[in-house]
Amino acid sequence: MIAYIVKGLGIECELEMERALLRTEAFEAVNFINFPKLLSGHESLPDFKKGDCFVIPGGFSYSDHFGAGKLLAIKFRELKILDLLDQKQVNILGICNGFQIMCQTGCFGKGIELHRNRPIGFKNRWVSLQSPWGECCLPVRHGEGRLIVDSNSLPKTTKKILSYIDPDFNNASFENIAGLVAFKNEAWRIGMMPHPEIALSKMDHPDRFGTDHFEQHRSKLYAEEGDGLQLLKSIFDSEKFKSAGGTI
Amino acid sequence: MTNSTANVVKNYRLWLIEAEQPSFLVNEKSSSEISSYLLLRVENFTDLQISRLNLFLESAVELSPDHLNNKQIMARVHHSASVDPKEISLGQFLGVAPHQIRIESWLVADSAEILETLKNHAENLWREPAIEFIWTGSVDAWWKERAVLPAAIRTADPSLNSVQDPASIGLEFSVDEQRAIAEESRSVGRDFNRTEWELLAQTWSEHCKHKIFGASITSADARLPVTHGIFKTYLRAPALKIADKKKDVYLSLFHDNSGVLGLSRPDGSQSPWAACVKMETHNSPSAISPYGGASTGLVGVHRDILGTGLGAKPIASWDVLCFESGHHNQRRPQNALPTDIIRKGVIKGIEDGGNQSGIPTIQGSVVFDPNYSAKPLVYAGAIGSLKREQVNKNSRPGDKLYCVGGAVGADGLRGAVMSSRDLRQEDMQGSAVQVAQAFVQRCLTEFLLEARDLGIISSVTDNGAGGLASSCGEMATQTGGARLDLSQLRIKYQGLHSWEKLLSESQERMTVATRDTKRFEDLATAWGVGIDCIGELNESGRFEVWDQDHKIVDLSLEFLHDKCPLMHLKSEWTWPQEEATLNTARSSMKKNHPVLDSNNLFETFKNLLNSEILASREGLVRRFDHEVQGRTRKLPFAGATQNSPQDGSNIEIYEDKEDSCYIALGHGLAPYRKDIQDNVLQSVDEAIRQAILGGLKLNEAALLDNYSWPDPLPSSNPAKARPQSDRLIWKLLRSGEILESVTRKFDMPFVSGKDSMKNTSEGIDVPETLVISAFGPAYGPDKVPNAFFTRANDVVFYLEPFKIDLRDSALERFLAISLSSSSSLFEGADFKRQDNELESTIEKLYLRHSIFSKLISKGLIRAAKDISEGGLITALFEMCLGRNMGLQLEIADADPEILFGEGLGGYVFTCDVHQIAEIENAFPDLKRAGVVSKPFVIRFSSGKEWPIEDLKTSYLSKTKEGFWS
Repeated sequence: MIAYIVKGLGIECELEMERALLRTEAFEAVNFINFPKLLSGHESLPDFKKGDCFVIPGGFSYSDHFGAGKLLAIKFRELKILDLLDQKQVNILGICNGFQIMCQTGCFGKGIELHRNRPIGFKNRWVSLQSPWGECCLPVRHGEGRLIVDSNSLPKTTKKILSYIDPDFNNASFENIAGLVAFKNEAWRIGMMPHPEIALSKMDHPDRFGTDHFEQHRSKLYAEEGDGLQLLKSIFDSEKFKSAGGTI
Repeated sequence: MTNSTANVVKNYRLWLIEAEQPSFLVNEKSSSEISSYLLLRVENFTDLQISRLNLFLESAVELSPDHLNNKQIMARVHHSASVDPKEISLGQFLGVAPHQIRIESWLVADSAEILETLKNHAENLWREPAIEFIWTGSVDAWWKERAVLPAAIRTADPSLNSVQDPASIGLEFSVDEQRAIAEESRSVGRDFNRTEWELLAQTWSEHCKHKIFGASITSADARLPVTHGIFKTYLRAPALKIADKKKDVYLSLFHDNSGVLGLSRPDGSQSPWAACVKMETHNSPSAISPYGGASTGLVGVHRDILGTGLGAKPIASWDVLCFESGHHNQRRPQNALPTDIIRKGVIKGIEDGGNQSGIPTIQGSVVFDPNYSAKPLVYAGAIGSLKREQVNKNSRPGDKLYCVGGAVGADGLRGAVMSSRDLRQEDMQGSAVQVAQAFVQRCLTEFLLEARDLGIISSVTDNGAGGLASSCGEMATQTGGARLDLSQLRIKYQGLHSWEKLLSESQERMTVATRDTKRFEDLATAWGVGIDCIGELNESGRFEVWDQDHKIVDLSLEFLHDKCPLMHLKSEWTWPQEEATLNTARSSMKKNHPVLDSNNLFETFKNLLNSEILASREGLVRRFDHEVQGRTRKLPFAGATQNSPQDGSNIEIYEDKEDSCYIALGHGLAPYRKDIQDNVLQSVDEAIRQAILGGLKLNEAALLDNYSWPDPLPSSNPAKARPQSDRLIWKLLRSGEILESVTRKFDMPFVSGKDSMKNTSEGIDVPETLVISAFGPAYGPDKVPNAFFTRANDVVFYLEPFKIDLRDSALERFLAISLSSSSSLFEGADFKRQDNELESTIEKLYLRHSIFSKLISKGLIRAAKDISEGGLITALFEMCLGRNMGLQLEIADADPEILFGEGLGGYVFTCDVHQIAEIENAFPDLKRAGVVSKPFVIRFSSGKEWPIEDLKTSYLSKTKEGFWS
């Protein structure tokens, strides 16, 4: 299994994503897909295999002009990347801007979009979330994460995978949804607003030392897995993923 | 006429693209009453481009004037830049030049009444992005009017016209400078042309040449009789001495676009990585166009990083913002924008500039003072990473020069010239300011960093102030000459004059020298980044520029760079005069004033926490992405509640695959300190303390100086005499002397800096604002203390600030504003100081800081904070917030001096119980503040209790009210 990370055109989080994916030890290799070179014809898409993962990290693709993720999503459609991934049964993971791009390409069904937060504005904060594997705390860093569902209910194939349960954070998202999963053709597509890729160890958390911190304990914390790494591991561990049904 | 109208109209198509309102209008009217539209005009598109456009417009509704017939108004708003950032993004997406697209933003409303409200609202509040014009009237009329608008007519190119008097083209030179130019002109036997005069005006501007910092100064102060350049004497000379001793650490100082430090790992071994650091100011642009000025300031400093060595990757930013106070009765410049518009625009500019660049904003400061009405100060700093072997440029004669990035327009002309003098009425139109396009720069950065890693760049520098003239002129000095040809330069529109091409400050452009032209050009094509070959480096000793077979510049490089006459300044000011002035200007607070009574102090503190001075900056910080790139190892706000502000930053370079290395950063400023010695020392001290709290290794650290001074030059116009000139020059000298002492004592050199010397408007001077940043290799995050209490019964120690005093403290400044009607707050003057106390104070500071740093390196400090604005009690209060803990103080009662006094070198911290002995041994002057407790109150040993919940509500209320949004 190989993970392919999209980079370029305003994607920002490719390096920390590479670092996180290597930490999960779920992949034989972690490679980049250089989108500008793909568009100029200087590189081509890799030979995807079943079970590979296509990762769209966070960022501000095309500065989010005309709507978050919109322009890059159109490039995706133009290149028919999603059809190819479907056909090859490749999993797709989109974080933040990646999730916005996935929504724009219709990954989770028609009429499911991410709009400006209410109250309006970009916010960087660690928030408590409910995942299929329990509660976790991850950073959010977005201004357009309010999920809108036109028909007021999710399509059958699309389920919640993360929801906000933080009393200090609310972006008025539909049913407090922070992440979605859709299954198609034996592959999954996961999109989420929070950034698991920078919560790799307990030391990354804003309350990192907790109530206890002798010197030895500190270095231990450094080695202890953070919520983000655990979440990514659970997603890539097919057994764990299935047992939780992948949903909440 | 009819025909031409029809032709133009054909190019316009109107699309409804944005379903949502611009954020600041949402609360104004219900969205059904106002719609926002984008007008799109496209030219000369190929079929492929049209099909892409259709794809883009799939979900958009195409509108015709008929659709809008029942509407009453429309407002057209536009960025002040000649190309809208949206046009760049769409151009990139469609694969066309952005000038083939024209996007205009519209608001359309139902009634004339909304029209009027909106117009007023937009004109007052929607200054950012700037309004190009507002149309009010029927759609039909608009359609006709716009359709026949003629294209801008360009006049004949004056680039080659010879100029005798620079004033005739609106340029100013000093008498000495004019004489030097006239001499050169005589020796080459011709008058210089327009282009050459413009080039000289840029190159010799205060902004580029730092003439005041280089000036030879004669002073009446006996200790400082003659100084041959403040920069050379006080900053560079001692720095070079230290760098000479530690060659592995200080890799490059003062000669590149930023200072470079070699890094070490937490275990002390040398890392293959280096880090560079730079801070810039963008004050004048931010005064005219807050959003554009601040965003280009931030994105511009990222280019300084990118232009360091063979190219460095920007990995973090920090910023210092100085705004006019919200309420005061002092005079402000007539043309100054309203203070809340400046604040909101600048903050939004920093937000967009940083977030869209993918570079975390890891720390910052916001300072308020009535006199920042002259100009807001916007400092933007950045840190970059590169490998040690990429630190030195290696250009050779014959290397080709490329301009990389966007096309060139007439934007930002004479920006450096404008920044080098006071602000004027004509500047306020905003033509010299641009809006940053972070996205373009990000694409450019990724391309350049790959080229760097492939080893095909021999030199790189950024195109900032002065454009190609400055970047190529600078690069020419590396080999001793350059020949440019601007014929191939991509331009945004036809009719651009030659001199404009050379001096345009169009953003997001870099200049690169390479020997491997084929690979460089291929790589640029692969990345889809625009490049133009613009000439080559040589050894001719000349700077020559051609455009379409015309030689537009032919100057000797030596003349251009080395013959700008040295400025001579003198100051009659002396220390006794200063002492007398400080005594008359300031008096000390009455200790027995009722507001300082221990029973009233809680109310006073609560109100202070709600003031601009101390209110939580959380609402602001959360708007800036501070974690992108995943390097931030000390968050700006932390704790279980994430409400405790933390001082100092620690960021990780994880590209070092063997073992990560870390960088600590801190910064400080104390413009409110009236005594220049306090001002400077407190800035340095706070910067170093913060960096230590971020894990700084004290003996490998470096400093940065960023001056924003009121114009220190005497005026040649008697009507605008500046009697303060003597004192301002003396203060500059004095500040240099203090910085030199710090450098020597701490063995910590300055490696980069910048000075902005013209922060005066309509006779109003900004406070002397010196921002010092401290930076260097750091211990890992497992050693770095938090800034909040975690466990009940932990003992809280503090190291009292040296020279602790209420003078100029946050408390005093706050009371001076809030009690302005009652003058009884202050009593007789008491300003005194020993002449020899400077050295001994620095000595004491060095001792304390090095011990503290050592304790951190051992992992002994559990939580720590520096005692700065607001004194001990503010630091303690902020540390309680992170986990809603309280304090049982061992301080008898609320005493203003102990609680609110400010000074130098103060720390407050906790440690583990079994390590108390070691800590107590380390510091002879250690004091116990008390013990952490569960109840959310601060309890004095007298039994008096201060509920923290009330204080917290007050502290957070500005954030809740949306003051920062």
